Amino acid sequence: MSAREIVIWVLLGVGLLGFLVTAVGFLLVDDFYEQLHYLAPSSLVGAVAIPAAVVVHEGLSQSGAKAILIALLLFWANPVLTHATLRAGRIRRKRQWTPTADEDIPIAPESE
Amino acid sequence: MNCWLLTALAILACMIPCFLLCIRRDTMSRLIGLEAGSTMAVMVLLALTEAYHQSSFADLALTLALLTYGSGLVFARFLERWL
Repeated sequence: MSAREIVIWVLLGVGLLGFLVTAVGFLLVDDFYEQLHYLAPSSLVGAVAIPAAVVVHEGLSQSGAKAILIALLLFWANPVLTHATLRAGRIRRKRQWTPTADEDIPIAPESE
Repeated sequence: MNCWLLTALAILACMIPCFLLCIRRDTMSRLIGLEAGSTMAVMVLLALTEAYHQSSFADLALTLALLTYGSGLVFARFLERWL
């Protein structure tokens, strides 16, 4: 087994570990806000490590370039989607995004 | 069976909790399951690209990645107010 193949196996293993953390987290956690945390391992670790393995295997060919695009897209989109989902969930529950009167959440004063 | 096929199968197994989340939980948790499942589906397609040496499969993965972003935002926006 060459060094390149070892790197590919390691990257695939790291990527799978990210997906496994997400899968196990979904099984163990019931709360919506906690479930949101488990989106990150799949989108930030798994979605970068597996395209990286493709790039190591293929080089900067057509497939490699597409893998880089996919990794960049998922890496960039995940925080945006997580925030949009969190915002939607909070507004559905509380009917507003800002803290309600019964919540003791300190808000930073607006800078002048 | 090569390492890419094994990876695709393993990711498919990781999608099972996402399906369970989509079936059993409340509406917002279903959206989380959908987003995670879509990301995993993109990676399955990418692994199959390498497993079968079909570079055209990567186009599907790229398209799905783009659609995942758009659909996630649209679902979140609609679930926020109207659904």
